[in-house]
Amino acid sequence: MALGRPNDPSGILSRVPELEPLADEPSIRRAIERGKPHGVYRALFWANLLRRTGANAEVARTLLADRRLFLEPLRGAPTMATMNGVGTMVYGRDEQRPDGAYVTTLFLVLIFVPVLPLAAYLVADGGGRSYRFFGKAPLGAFTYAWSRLAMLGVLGAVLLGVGSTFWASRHATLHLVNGLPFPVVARVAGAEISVPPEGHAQAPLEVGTYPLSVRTLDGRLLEEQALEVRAGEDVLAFNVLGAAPIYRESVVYAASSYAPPSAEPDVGCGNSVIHWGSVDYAFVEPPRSMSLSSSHATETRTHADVVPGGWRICASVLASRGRIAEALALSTRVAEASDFATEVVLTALAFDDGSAAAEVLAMLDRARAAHPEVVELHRVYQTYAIRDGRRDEVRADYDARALASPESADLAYLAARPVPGPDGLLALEQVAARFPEHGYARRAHAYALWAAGRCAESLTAWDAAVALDADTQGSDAPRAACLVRLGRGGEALALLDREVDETVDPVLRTSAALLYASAALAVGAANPSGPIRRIDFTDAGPSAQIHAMLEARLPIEMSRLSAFEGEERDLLELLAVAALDPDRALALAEALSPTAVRQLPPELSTLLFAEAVRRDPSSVAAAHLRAGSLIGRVPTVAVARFVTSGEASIEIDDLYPPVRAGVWLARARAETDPVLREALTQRALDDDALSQWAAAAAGGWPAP
Amino acid sequence: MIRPSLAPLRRPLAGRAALALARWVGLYAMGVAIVLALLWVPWAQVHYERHVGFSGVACVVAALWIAFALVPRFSFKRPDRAQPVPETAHPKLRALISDVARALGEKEPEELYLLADVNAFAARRGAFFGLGGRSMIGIGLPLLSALEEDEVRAVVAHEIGHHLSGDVLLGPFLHRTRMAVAVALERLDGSSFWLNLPFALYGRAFMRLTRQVSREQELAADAVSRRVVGRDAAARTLVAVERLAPQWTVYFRGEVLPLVDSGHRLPLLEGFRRFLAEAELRRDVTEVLNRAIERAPAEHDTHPSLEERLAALGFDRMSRPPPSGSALSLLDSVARAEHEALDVILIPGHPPLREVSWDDAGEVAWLAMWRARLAPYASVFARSTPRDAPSLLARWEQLGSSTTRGISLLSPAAQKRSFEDLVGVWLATSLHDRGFRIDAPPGAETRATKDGAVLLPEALVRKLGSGELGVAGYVALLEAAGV
Repeated sequence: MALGRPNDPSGILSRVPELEPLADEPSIRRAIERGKPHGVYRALFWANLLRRTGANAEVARTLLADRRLFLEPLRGAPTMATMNGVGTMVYGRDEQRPDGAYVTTLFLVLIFVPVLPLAAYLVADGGGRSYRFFGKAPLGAFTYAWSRLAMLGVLGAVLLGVGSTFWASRHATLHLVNGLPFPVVARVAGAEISVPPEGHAQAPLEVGTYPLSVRTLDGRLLEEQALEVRAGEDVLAFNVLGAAPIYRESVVYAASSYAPPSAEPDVGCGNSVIHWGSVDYAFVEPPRSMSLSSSHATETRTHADVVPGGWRICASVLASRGRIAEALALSTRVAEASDFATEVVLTALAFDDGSAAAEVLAMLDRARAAHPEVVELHRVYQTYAIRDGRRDEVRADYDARALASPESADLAYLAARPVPGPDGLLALEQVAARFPEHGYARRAHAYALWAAGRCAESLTAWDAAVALDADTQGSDAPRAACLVRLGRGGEALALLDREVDETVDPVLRTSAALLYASAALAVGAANPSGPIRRIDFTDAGPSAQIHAMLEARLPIEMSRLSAFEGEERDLLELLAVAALDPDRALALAEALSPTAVRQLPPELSTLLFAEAVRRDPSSVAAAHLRAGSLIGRVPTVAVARFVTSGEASIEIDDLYPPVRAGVWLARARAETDPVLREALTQRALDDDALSQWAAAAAGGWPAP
Repeated sequence: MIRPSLAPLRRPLAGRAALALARWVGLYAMGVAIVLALLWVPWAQVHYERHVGFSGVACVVAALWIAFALVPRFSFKRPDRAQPVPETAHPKLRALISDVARALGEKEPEELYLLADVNAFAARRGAFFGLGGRSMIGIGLPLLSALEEDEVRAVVAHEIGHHLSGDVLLGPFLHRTRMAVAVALERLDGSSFWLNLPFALYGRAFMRLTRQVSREQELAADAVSRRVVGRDAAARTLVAVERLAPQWTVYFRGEVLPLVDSGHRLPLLEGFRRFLAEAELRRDVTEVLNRAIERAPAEHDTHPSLEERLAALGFDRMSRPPPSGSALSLLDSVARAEHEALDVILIPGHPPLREVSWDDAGEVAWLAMWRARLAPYASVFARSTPRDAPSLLARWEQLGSSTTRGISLLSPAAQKRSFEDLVGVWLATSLHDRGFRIDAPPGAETRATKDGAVLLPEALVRKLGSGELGVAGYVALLEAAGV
């Protein structure tokens, strides 16, 4: 049924009357009535494709072949411009008629290659490379499909991008960082995430607040917190127990001639939840170089990551920044989390500055209670308790334990160990005799003999201890000191040289090298610095080698100290002058923080403390050295009392002999009786056979 | 005086204005929301992802595009060349208007305009958002020519009804907002990424609402008209105007404007009377008229359909008997009124128009135009005689392209029709060259007459082209006319 002539706002039926019969097809009719000739062309195209043009199929095909019939007026001149091959250009010369006009297609081009058809135009050549545009023609079937597909692709890409952005606005990536030496499992937002020891895992989370719990693999709860997840932060990290050394630093890219100011990185040590915005490189390495524009001398980026090394690094960083209490608190948390693993407990004690003795002791008490079979934990507990003035309590405790288990070598040893003076030596002698296979007892006996000045017996005892356990640690100094004292300096040097070569642990290796230098100086051997120079200090920091040389009292060029500044320089200068100039050394000590004082060898810090007390117990230097003392609260008090009044105590007898030597020397300098002064000086030289600080000061310091 | 009811208006003026304003603001609010949503993407990419990706750039481009399309364009109103009728002119018409206004309790419009259109209007000039200004009423000359006086009264009542209901206050605003929406949609139309869809949907809803308001206003004005002249006259007037409008359009565009364009001025209303009285209209004229009559109500029509308007007046249908007279007697001078109405559409500074009667229109005006049209194709018709018309038509494909000026945008059928038109006017000029007089009555076929013989050159060519008339029959007709 004919529907009559459709409304024709664009007048296309006047230009193309053949469309009138085709308008019986509803889609064509609607298109005509919309007044959009391109729409009419498209409707005609689909009607023809779907065979809905009936008897007019041939007419439809003829019309479709002549796009100029469906011309729409130009809204404006089309833009045709390219820059470096990117822009818009017309291509093609289709449906040309004798009037010279033809249909061409405007493309988006990349390197002059058509990428996206934008529109078709009826044009005529205007001379040269110009065109006369008459109107906008519909795109042909192929270019239309190309255009639509490309547009769909672009639209899809845009929608994907928008979706991704929306997702990013509603989510954040949680970085779970574990600085503990064992794996943990975190539960958050219904997910369970395993994090390896000293490792890192990540999980996307929707914005919101979630309870987060961290447990060990065996289900012990380590930490539980409410975690607020905010979008837009580059780093959202959960640092288990605050133990991982997560940091944020500025990376400055500059021309080679420019020296950017150094800035300390932010560290997340001690903090469990970390929100950091504006991080350019989160947990990825930043590029090594960056091309700078001529207008920028520098470019700064931010990088966040985790330093390998776990909680030890974190505690060290806190300690190095003077946040000792936090370092110790972190260490204590880690020790508890590790269920008081011996190695962890012992490492944690490295951050004890004596300011929280009760807490440390309580931790050690819990540790020995958790692992009563571990002798090492009892040993450190005893040491810290005795330093805290609880010797009697300790003795009573372990006597009772030994009595309850008379066959226990460990308990017999632990009961004998707190006994002071000759009784203690005797007790250890008996335990070593009763339990000859007990390494601890053997070693303690050898040490006690050395402390008592019985070097020949001590060497024999050490040989027995080492025979039991070749890896016996802490034997180098006593054995070398005894050998030197017995006039067997060559053996001492050989022993220490071998230790330097065979020891893997860098700390122990450096310690052996320092002992070697001292021994070499004591016996007048050549090349005392040889072993130190064999050690690679690259990773230990720029001042590490100088520090080692000065600690071994080896000469260096003082001009090298000018490369350092502040407390670090004061510390190095103190090491350089301490053996010769006590006035200057104590003046420098006044400027040192307790943390810096703790970087001095205990032999030297105790010597300087004793000398400072001798001069004025209430001096600033004495206070600083007391605060940084490494020998414990009660022994420090005992040292002060002994130096000022001559009051002897078992705490001083218990000191490590080279440390004790400094106390003897200071008391000798306080003594007015020349005989006593001579005797004390000799005791100092005997205890410091390796000619470390006390022996050096005895020869180098001016008389008081 | 009891003010007449405006029952079809469901909402008060303030309500209609507020609703239209809310929809207008809504369009921009939606646009701003979409622009902000698009701009959120690059912001979010910087904020949450620390870089702007391809999608962010694309969203910025889209946002700028939409913002550009939505920015309202303020165009300065061009000075209106139409001048109101002097206050002393056409006192009878003024009295009729005054009488109707008084009957409705409304102030008489301050300015009167006469138009060359089957239309009438009510408005305010110089008003700012409907406030202040001078009230106006305009009436089309063809209405005065073709309607009886009570029907003119119905038209005037209808227009004063628009004043009465406040439509003239709301009208300009509605018009501007409709234009703003239409312009925005026009700019957004054709988006390859379908960004125009929400705006198109909104625009359609907006247009539907304002169209509904407009239609209600028209029905209310019809009700006012009924109150003044009674429902019969009001209905008859609607029927008359509905019929006259396309007739005038066809007449004015097809007969008057080409002649004016060629520098001639003819009596407008006399021509229209002849056009209406023509027993046998040209086929193309009949087609256009039929198309207008058959035209289904369009979605965007601001006026209700005739059926709706009649129904509102209480009629299923209404036939209008031939009018017994016209209302032209209301005018002082028809010629002056025609002059003034036509001058409004002329370009300022146009050359003076030559006065021509409709009897001489063929000989004086059309022939000159046809010869000017044929001049570029003299070579095509050189040495051709009227007997060659069939052979010319037979070669339309070949000759058609050579008679196209500039580029051709016509389909084969349109090109053929165009060539037939050309051959038709050539035949008319050719017959004129052979002593025939050419008459071109408005709406009727061109007639060539000589010694009592009558030929219809354009009709003959069309019949030849369509095969309705064979070559032999054509030649016989020519021979019979002495050609």
